[in-house]
Amino acid sequence: MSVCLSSRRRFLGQTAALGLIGASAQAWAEDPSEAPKAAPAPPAAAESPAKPTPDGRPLAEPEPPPPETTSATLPLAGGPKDRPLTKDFPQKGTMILQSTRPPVLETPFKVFDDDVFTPNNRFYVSWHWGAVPITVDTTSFRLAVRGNVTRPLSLSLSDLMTGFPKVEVAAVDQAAGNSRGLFQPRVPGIQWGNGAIGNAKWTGVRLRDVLDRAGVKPGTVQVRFNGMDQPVVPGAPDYMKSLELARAMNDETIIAFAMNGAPLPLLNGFPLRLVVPGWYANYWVKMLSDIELLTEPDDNYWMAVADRVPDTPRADVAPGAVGYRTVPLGRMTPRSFFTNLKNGDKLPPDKQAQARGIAFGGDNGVARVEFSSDGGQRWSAAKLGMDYGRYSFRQWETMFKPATGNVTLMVRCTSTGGVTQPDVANWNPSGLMRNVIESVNVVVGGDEAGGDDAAAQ
Amino acid sequence: MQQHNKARAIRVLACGAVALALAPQPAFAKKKMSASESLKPLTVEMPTNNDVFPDRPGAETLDRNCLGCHSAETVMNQPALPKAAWEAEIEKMRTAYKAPINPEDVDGIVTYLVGTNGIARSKWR
Ligand code: HEC
Repeated sequence: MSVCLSSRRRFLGQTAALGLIGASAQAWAEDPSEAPKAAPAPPAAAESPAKPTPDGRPLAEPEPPPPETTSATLPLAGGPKDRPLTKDFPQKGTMILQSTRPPVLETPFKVFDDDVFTPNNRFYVSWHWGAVPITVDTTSFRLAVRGNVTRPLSLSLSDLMTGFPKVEVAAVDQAAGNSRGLFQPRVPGIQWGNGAIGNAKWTGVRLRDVLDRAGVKPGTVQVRFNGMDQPVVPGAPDYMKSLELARAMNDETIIAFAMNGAPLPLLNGFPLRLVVPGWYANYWVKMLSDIELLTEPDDNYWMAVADRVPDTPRADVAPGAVGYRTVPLGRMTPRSFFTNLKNGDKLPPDKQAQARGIAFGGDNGVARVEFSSDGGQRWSAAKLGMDYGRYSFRQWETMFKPATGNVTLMVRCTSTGGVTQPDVANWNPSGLMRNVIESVNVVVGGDEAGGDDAAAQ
Repeated sequence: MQQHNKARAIRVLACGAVALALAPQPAFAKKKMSASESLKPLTVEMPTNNDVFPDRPGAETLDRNCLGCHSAETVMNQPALPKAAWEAEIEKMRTAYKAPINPEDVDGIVTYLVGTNGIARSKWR
């Protein structure tokens, strides 16, 4: 690791000549028009192939660890920690495989060390139902705007892309269940590490402009968003999310058709996706095809039953608690992460070391990022990178000279809204909204201290 | 490594020259516009996963009931959970997601899940 660190540090000196262009060129290589034009795959078969003949091996028999390149280890206490790394998904590079059907892919955390914007081909993927369309005919595609409006609309992609002012916003896309696997006690759901998150420049049109064209009638209370994905059994709840009218009409809510300067990868919502900066990605409906203005609050399953959190500070309740009020998910909270150091890394003694990473303010900007190299007793301000706007990741870095032995490094972010990450983790039964201060245990000097499990993500 | 090198370009901390390169909306904005006037039709190929559940008593019951909506790994990646939590999961599959699970199968499914609780992937087979 220390070898890698020093070679990375050298890059800092080389950055000047390259600027943003290199990074965007990389995103452009992702143009979906270059995606393999393979015959549409049939929906994954649900039939059960014959059981493989049991080979009689006991479950506990140790196996040689798989080579580093084929699997990832997530720091999930109690396991299972290992996940395959996959390159098999369309328009995606190497990703951590959480689920093939529905497609659920986590971004390997070291990707966040490379760039403040997350490349489209490494951007995490999350769907609830397996029936994600694999073909989008952009010529016949229409976005419907209907319900409590004076002029229902059926917009083609060119109507949308040429008929309204274009806007761009840098914003963090984070699943509310990001880091669910770190909850203690553990809870069911996709067992994400910290990689159900990414930062992109989203280009699109303001939702408000589209709603204005349709004419919002008095009595509208919420706006509901539906995508082209479908449940796989009849009667099961289609994935839909609703925003209060005021949030929908907020200047910042956009219908995006590009991400980091390129069309959205299919698995990130091609051709259109709602972007609600500062709010959890659960609302960022992918493959958006239907917008409905409602005169009653939405009581669909994904608003009324799922995706809800305790109505308590930080959505925190005691494990086993019952009878508390719940509210729909909404605004994000601040978080910050190390990207160049992980548990078990070894640092040379008596030498300056660099810590760096990313932070974001949740529903606000980053006011400050603080770093501690003594387990949280003393904190000092980290240097902040370029400000790409209130909703973007912000890079941070600091130099420090650690004590020898086992050292706990910590990082915490305070938002411009005055919210600081807490030092005790929140808990709720759905594993949502984690934002506790992150720490990394490193070993400084010699090998007198055994590093615990190297939780490489 | 080359990709890494390129990507590091945007890390701008304490480097004035980079800020200069970034100040005007660079090539980024121009290129983007050509893409944003129209989008080409898109067809992709998705990988499949036909894994069955790890071979232990009751696996066939899960193969029959639990592979219609998601691959086995969705279930096998779950942590160790108490029996009551597994019962609640199966109930959620039935009532919320309309999984056509035969009520007689539920006990066997729960027993299997409690027994495979948190097994590491390397030991699934
Ligand atoms: C009718 C479709 C359907 C069937 C059949 C089904 N499930 Fe699910 N299951 C779902 C959906 C949908 C989700 C994901 C919900 C989400 O993304 O929030 C899910 C998620 C899960 C999860 C992850 C934890 C969670 O709550 O999200 C587990 C574990 C699970 N299912 C177990 C099972 C088992 C065991 C069976 C067989 C007894 C089964 N499922 C059958 C629809 C189904």
